[in-house]
This record gives sequence, C-alpha cells and structure tokens, in this order.
Amino acid sequence: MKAVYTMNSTKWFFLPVFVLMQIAMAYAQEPYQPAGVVSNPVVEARWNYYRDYGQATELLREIAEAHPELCSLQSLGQSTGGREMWVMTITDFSTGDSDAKPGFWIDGNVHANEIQSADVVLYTAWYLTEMQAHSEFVRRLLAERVFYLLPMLSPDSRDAHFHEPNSSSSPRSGQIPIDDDRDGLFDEDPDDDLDGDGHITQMRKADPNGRWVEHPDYPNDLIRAEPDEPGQFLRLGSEGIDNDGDGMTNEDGDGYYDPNRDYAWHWQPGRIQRGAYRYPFSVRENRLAAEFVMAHPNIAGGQSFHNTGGMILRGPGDPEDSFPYDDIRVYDKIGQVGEEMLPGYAYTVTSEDLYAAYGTVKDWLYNMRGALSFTNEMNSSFNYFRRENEGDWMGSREDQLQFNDLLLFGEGYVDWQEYDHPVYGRIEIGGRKKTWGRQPPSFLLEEECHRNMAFVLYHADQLPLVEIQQATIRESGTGKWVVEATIVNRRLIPTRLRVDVERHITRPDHAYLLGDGFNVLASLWSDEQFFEYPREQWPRPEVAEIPRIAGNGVVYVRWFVSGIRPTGVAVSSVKGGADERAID
Amino acid sequence: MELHIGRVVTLGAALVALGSAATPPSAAAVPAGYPDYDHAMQQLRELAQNERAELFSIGVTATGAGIPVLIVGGDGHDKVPAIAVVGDTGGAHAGVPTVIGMARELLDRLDQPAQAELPAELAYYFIPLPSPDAYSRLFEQPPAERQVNARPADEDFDFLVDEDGFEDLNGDGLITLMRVARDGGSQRTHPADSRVLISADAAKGELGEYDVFSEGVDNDGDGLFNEDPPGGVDFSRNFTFNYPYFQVGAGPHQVSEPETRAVADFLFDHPNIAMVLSFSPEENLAHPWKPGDTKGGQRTGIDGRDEPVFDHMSKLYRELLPEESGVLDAPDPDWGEGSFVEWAYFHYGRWSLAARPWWPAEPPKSEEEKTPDSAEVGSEQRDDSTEPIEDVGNRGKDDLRLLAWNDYASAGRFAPWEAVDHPDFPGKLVEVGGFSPFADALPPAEKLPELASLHTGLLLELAGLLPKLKLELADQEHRGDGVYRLEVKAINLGYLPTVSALGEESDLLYPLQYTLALPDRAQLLDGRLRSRLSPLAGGGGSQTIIWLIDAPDGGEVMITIYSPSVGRAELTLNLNESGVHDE
Repeated sequence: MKAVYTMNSTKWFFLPVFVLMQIAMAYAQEPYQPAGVVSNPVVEARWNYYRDYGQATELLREIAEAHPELCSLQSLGQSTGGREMWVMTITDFSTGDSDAKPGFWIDGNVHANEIQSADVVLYTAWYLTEMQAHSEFVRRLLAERVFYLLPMLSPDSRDAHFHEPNSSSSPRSGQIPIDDDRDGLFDEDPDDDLDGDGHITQMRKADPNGRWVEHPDYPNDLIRAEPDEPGQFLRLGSEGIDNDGDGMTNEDGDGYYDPNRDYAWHWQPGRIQRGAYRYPFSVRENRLAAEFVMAHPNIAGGQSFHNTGGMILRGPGDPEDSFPYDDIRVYDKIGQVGEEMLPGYAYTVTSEDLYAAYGTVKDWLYNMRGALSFTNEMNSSFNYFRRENEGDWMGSREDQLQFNDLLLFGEGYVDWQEYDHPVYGRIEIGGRKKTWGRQPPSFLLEEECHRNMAFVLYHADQLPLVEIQQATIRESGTGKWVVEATIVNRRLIPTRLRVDVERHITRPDHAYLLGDGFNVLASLWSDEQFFEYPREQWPRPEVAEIPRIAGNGVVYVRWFVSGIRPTGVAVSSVKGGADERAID
Repeated sequence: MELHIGRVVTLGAALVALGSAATPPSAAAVPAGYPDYDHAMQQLRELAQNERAELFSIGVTATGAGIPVLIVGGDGHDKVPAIAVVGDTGGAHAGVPTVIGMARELLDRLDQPAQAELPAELAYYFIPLPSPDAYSRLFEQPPAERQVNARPADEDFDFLVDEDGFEDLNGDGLITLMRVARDGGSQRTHPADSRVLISADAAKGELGEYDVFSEGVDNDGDGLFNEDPPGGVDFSRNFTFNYPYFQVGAGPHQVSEPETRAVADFLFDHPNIAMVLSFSPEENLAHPWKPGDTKGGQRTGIDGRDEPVFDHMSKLYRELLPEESGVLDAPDPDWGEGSFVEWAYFHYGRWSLAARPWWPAEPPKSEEEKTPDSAEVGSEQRDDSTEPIEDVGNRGKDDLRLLAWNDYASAGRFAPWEAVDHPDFPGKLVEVGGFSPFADALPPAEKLPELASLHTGLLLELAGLLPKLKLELADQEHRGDGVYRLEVKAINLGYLPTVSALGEESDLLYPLQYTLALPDRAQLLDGRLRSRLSPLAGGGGSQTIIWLIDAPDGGEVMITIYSPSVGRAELTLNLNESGVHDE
C-alpha cells in the first residue's frame, strides 16, 4: 500500500496544524519555571490579596487534600465566636514519627488587624508543600523537621477587620465583650462608620481658630500650623458619635484586651500591662494554642508574625528580665542573617529598643517551652522607595503620601467629604483607608511573605539535629565489652537551650545501646574524647542522660557491658531528633 | 516537699532509752468528726434547702469532684456588694468545716433578723472546698502531709512522674518521719525535750546525730526519699502574684489547674465582690501585712494607704479571739509565692483577709502538772538548782508548744520513735516517728462549732466595716424663672473606703457612678446626666456634684449613686418656686 500524501487542499491544511499542535504540546509539558515557586503548582494560589477566615480555611483544606503525604490539617477547637482554630502539620510523613522530629512552631494574626501575619503563614504552608518535589532544600527540610502552623490565632477579630468598619489599627483586641469604661454596658460605644464607606477615618471641621492646616502638596493630609501661621481646621478624632451619652466618644468598642499579653512568662495584670486579661491563657484561643504547644515538647524553634515596622524581635519583654548569654549568642547569629534577607528590618530586643511587653507569645515559647523564638513585625516602610526614611513605624509622612500618589494613584485615602455631625455640626470625614499602611499593598505582599518565610526556613534549618558519628566496640580484657560512641549536633542551636537546662523544661538527651542479652554495668559520658573528666551515669547506667549537646558540639559516651555483644547505639533528643547506628 | 523539709527541722520523739511516759499515737491524721468530701457536700446540700441559699458547682477537678459555691443572697445577689468566704486554700483543712459552719450560722441569723444586727443588702459567696482533691488527701490511707491536687507532677525534675511516694514503714497508719543515726548528721535532739529534733549548729560546737527524711524508701534509687509522691499542684502556689516559676507545686504555669481557674473565674465574674475572707496559714489578721515598695516591677508589700485598714482589722480580730486561742502565738508567715490570699489583694484588687483557723494553745501551767520545760520527761529526778538547760534559741519552739498541747490534751498527735528495718540503710539504726500530718493545723472536732461561731462573728464585723453610701443636699438655689442650682454630696459613712488603693489601680472594680433623672421639659445647663465619682474615703469621705438645671415646670429630680461592689444610694428632690427640697 503506497503512502498517500496527495497534495490536495484538505491535507495541506492538516499538516501544518498537526505540526503546530506537536510543538504546542511539547511546550505545555515543559512550562517555563521562574526562580522561586513553580508556575504550575498543584494548588493554584495568588498572593496579591488578603484572605478572610473563610478563604483561608478553603486554601488550607485544598493544600491538605492535595498533599496528604506532606501535611495534615486539624482544628484545636473553636474560638469564642465559633470559628475553627486551624493547625497544619507539615513534614514528610514517610521519614519517621513526625512528633519525634525537631519541631518548628509558626503562629500568625494574634493581633487580628495585623492581617498579613496570617497570609505569610498560609504562604509558607503552600510553598513548602508545592516545592517539596522540586527543591532539594525543601525536601531535606521536611524530611528532617516538622512544622506546626497556626495561621489565625484571632479568627473572630480577623473577620471583624475584614467585614466591619475598622482602620488599619483595629481590632487589635479579641471579641470577648468587655466594659472598658466601667459603666455597666459592654462595647456600647465603638467607632462609627458615619459615611458608610467601610473605613474608620478621621473627622475635621473647618475653623480658622483650629491649629491644623491642609498639607500643601497632599490635600488628604492634615499637618500642624506653624506657630506664626493661621490655622484652617480642628481635628476631631476618629469617626464616631457618643453612642451612650456619657460625654465620651468611641470609648468602649471591641474588647479591649490584648491577646498577646495573655501568655504565662512574666505575665502582669492590667495595671502594669495594658490589655492583660484575667490570668495567663484566660483567652480561649490562646489556651487552645498553648495546650497544643505543651503537648509537643519537640518544638525547638518558634516564630510569631505581627505588623508593623520591619523588626526581627527577640525578648525579653520585661525590662527586669535577662536571657542567658549562651542563648543570646544563638539569637544574635540568626537575627543578623535575618537582617540580610529582610532589607529595612532591624534585629531588635523588645524591652530595650521597643517597649515593655509582659506576657507575649515569644517570651513564653522561649522561657517556658525552651524554643528559640522570634516575632517579626512585617512591613518596613523602607519598601516604599527602597530608601531609609525618617518617621515612625509606618514611615515618614511624605513617603507614605508620595507612595499613595505615584504607586496607588491616590486610592489609599478617602477624600474629605462633608457630613452633618449631631454634636459638631458641619464637618468633613476622610483619611487613610484600612486596607494599607500597616499591611503592604497587593504588589508588595508576595515578596513580604517570601522573605519572611525564608527567614523561618533558615532558622528551622538551624534547629538541633543529633547524629551518631561513630560507634565502636572493644574487649575490656576482663571479659567485658567497652562500647564508645561519638554523638554530634551539626547545627547552630544546641539540643537544649540554656533556659531549658536550668529550668528542667525537657529531659536530657538519652544515649543507649541496642540489642539483647547484655547488662550495662556502668556508663560514662564526656565532652572531650580522652575522658579525663567524665561524668558517671547513675542510677540506671543503661541510658546516659546528657544535659545537652551544644551548637556544633559533640559528646562522647562509653558503656561497660557484660553478656552478649550489643548491636548498635541510639540517641534520642526531645528537640534534637534521634539517630541510630550499628556498631562498627 | 518544701513543707516536709520544714517539718524535718523541728519534729521530735518520745525518748525510748529512758523509759518515758509516751503519749499513745493515734492511727488517723484527721480527727474523728471532720467531714470528708461526700459529707461536706451533703451538709452543703442541706443548707441549700434554705430559700436564701443556692448551691452551684463552679468546676470539676481531675478526679471528677465538683467544686461547690453556696450563694447566700437570693435573686439579685450579684447586684449588691458581696463577701467571698474561702475555706482551705492550702494547709488549712479546718477551714472546710469552719466555712460550712459559718454558712449555717449566718443562715440561722438571717432567719431571725430581730435578734442580730446584720449589715443590710449584702450577698455572701461561700467556697468551703476550693481544692477538693487536696482536702481529700487528709482522708487517704495512710495520710501524709501533702496539700496538692491530683495532677501528676515531676517534683524532682528527673522526668519520671510520681515515681517515689511514701511508705508506712512501721504500719501505724500514718506517714511521719524517719531518722537515721549518723555522727555528723544534720539534726540533734532538743535539750528540753528529746522527742524534738532540731538542726545542729556546727558554729556552736554542736555535733548532729541524725539525718531525717520523710517516711518511706527510695523507690527510684536516686538517693532521695519520697521526693516525688502522687500529685500535684498546690492551690496556693498557682496564682499570678509573685508566681514561683518552675518551683515544686506551682504547676506548669499560673492558674493552670481546674480548681484555680474555677475559683478565679467565679471571682472575676462577680464584680460585686468587695472583700475576700479565707483560711490559710498565710494569714494577715494575727500578723497584718505591712507596706513595701516596688522592686523590679513587683510590689513587696501593701500600699501604704491601705495600712491603717489592715491594722484596724487585725485589732478587731485580736479582740474577738478568746483568751485561750493559740492563734496569736503561731509564727509570722513569710510572703507567699503564687498564693491565693495575696492574689486577692494585689491582682484581684479586693480587701483580702486571711486567718489561721486554729493553733495549739499553751496549756495552763500548774504545780502538779509536768511540762516539757521542766525537763522531767523521761529522765530521772533532776535537781533544778544545779543543771541549767542548754540554750538553743528559738529552735524547736513551735514543736515544743505542739507537744505540750498534745500531751495536755491527750491528742495522740505524736508517734514515738520506733526502730524499723530499712532496706536502704542496712545495719543502721533507723527509727520512725514524729507528728501526725498537719498536727498543728487540725483542732479537735469538738472545737469546730465554736470556731464556726467565732469566725461568723468576725465575718459580720468585717461586713459591718463596708462602705455605707448616703446622698445629701448640700446647697441649693433657685435663680428664678425655673433655673436651679443643686449641690449634692455623696458621702461614705462606712469605715472602709469605697475601694482599696490596689483596687483603684487594678481597674477591675466598678467606680461609683452617679445618674440624674430630670423632670419633663427640663434641660441641663451645666453638669452631666451620668458620670463617675472618685473613690470616697471611709468615715465621711465625700464628693460634691453640681448641676445647673433649667426646669420651667419644676418637678422632681432623682439622683442615684451606685457601684455593684459598693452599694446604692438615692435622693429625690423637689424643684419649685421656693427652691429645692429634700423629699
């Protein structure tokens, strides 16, 4: 049968189409992969917007369904308002008991208005699960470590920020009703969205006797009049009216309590620490999180996310407190690397450079759970124009207004609009929208998330990891065996931090023999190989109890054994993992 | 554990060698007649049948025991000032039957108001058993001196839990002490009574003869004895003021236990509570608290402005105590760590008063009676003129007192030293003996009714000190055409200020609020319809409120001042042509 390729018109049409299809299919199988995350993830996700509780829940569920071999989703229980407290565990489940691996804890959004602090945790969950198959670093990290992610510590207030009128600074509190002004009524006089635009902005009144004037270049802004300059406006405060007729305006809104002053280390009551609630973990959401952390003593590192200002914070938060020098050196190493990968962020000590803060998450994680913990205040104003600027945590006034003009095209502010106020008469309402300021605009969010995640992964990679470098055996000459093992920790962070050792938070590292039919008569361990000043393990010499293995440290163990020759040596560290090795 | 080491210093024994007349030991720590948990609950249920009283459970312990509150005050109890009365906060077991007895007596008195002057409009919250599982340890077989709840705890930091408890080596049904003879040991006998052991002071040339431990064997082979028995967390180490982080008995963190959370939440949920009266060895009525400054952000004493109040209450308490009470001789307690009593003042911001329910009294001295001080016990007749007793200072003083009372009352609280074979000390002389658990804290059951009466009297006296509010028209003026100026004084005629200094700082209590109700068509020209008053000092402290009212038709104005923890006062005034008049 001869091949039929006649040159009639129909066949002429199909041949080029066929060829083009082949080329197209070849390209579809090999998408162009940028550096960063893959362009064709299993779970599609954009990172230029903020997810409310429902959307975050949906994403977490999608990730868990798509990657069951790498992550599992659980709820710790319900918040005060009935929302689930999601925790996602991420690790390579095929490489051993996940809770025996060194653990890393990440929490976000304890302050609900600090909304990007949840999205960065979601980004981390998505990135780790998507990149495990494509990145050797991520593959190794998930084999060696387990991550516990809690994206929304205050889910009720997160939804309140999203869906109720608020500013970028509210609600910081949770949603338990509290009678802030002690008048017998609860939350009866919050801010009021008088113009119904969904943002709590500012009120001003035209008044030549007022001492505020419009900024010459930026009409959205009010600045103080110079002493020799006539004024134009009175500033009347945040949008609102005196709902309860007590002469005070907006004095009793959501809460007020600060969920990040509810943790146990150096907790202080409200008269010393503003916003403290009744006693540690008296806020339900915090209690659920704390119970999970306490049930996972393998957690060796922690990260809390907040905004704003561009800081990598370590404790102490109590000015009278001090951390051991040992542990500070480890903090410093990691903090300095953080400053490199987060331009515009400063590694800072809370009580020294920021303010006194009693009862915070990171201080509890470190001081009472023995986990090296940071808080990142996300969003540096450095990011507006990649230049240092004078100003507070949100940057200089000029930088913010210029950014609004040139890069947001003016959308960042509500223009002044007239309003008839029941007390103040004809006023104007306007000001910054709640949707940016403390949190970045859409196009800066993904970078923010990635850089902060990278800091977390760097820290996680420094968690302790025990390894038996060598295990040998010899005869004693008196009818007994002498087994010796060299056990190392090749990471920056010791198997137990100094506070862990001093306060007995977790047990010492255990080194023991494998096999059957032998009897351990004595054991010694030493931090130098010549056993010049060893310590004897007594009672129970079978398990050498080693206080800790330092960062890039080593310990030597020697067992005197009678009976059948042991087959191997094992080491088990609560926060440093485990290892086994057959005796050479 | 801390408590036990403390006992080691001072306990003693009947001296076997010289054939003393030893007091027979009793086989139970708890005197007959004390209610156990079930009996206590039964008594509370009976009291709740009174229509003024209601019984609630505010929480459940790890063993499933409910934590009861008996509320006396009827509906609306949370709108009037209240006093919380808390029983055994730790080491004060007699507080349980005492608080139940106080509730009973109070209800009796309320049922016959003519017979007694009772402060008006008060509610009472009786919490006799804040830590039921700790109380129930007294009824264990054998009982030991432990006041912790049922939470398993690693008390010796060896990461084993509850692995080394007590053993009753001499089978007397009690956990006491054991002493091991050893030259150079830490303890020696007291020269005045060889039953008592005291520390040996090497600087004075004393050589010790014994090491002392609690009764038991070293179950985990670590060289320590009974250092990690079953349980637990001490109710009075688990609160937020001066919390002892990582110490034995303190729990994993502040307010970690169902017992402490239940009581704390109940107290927070009732802002009308003005005062807390508790029973505890950490008392402040026999030894009133003193002021101190702030070190490292932490207060070391009460606020100086509250000192007169604590002194006054201590004076009242001393006057109420019968002469034969031994409570004033009990040692001055140290500042607690994580204690409930201090939390109630320093963090909860209320007047917090605490009493030791009982302390063994000094027996009456007489010529015929032998007392330990005459040093005739177990010895041959001594010639007092030739041998003075060695002076060991205050060492053993409290134990001597307890023994004196024990012998006088034939209370059977002391087990004579008795040799046992001890597996951890082969070939050594080991003797078991000493005081029964909580020997100095448990009055005989027949004393309990009088203690309930005594403390009910105390409760009512304290209640009588609470603020009494009054409103008075201080000045008034009709300016004509229906414009009136009113000056009204809010006065506190009670002894106590409306809030303590710490209470004011705490921002937990409701300040006094005033409201003004105007007649029809009236307008306020100056002043507020509603605002708050400053705290009012006791004994006539006052604040003046001024209004300027435009009331063309005259009429009635009503002024109210109120705070749930202070009380209420009202004043109705009539505005007419001739001025403002009190109705």
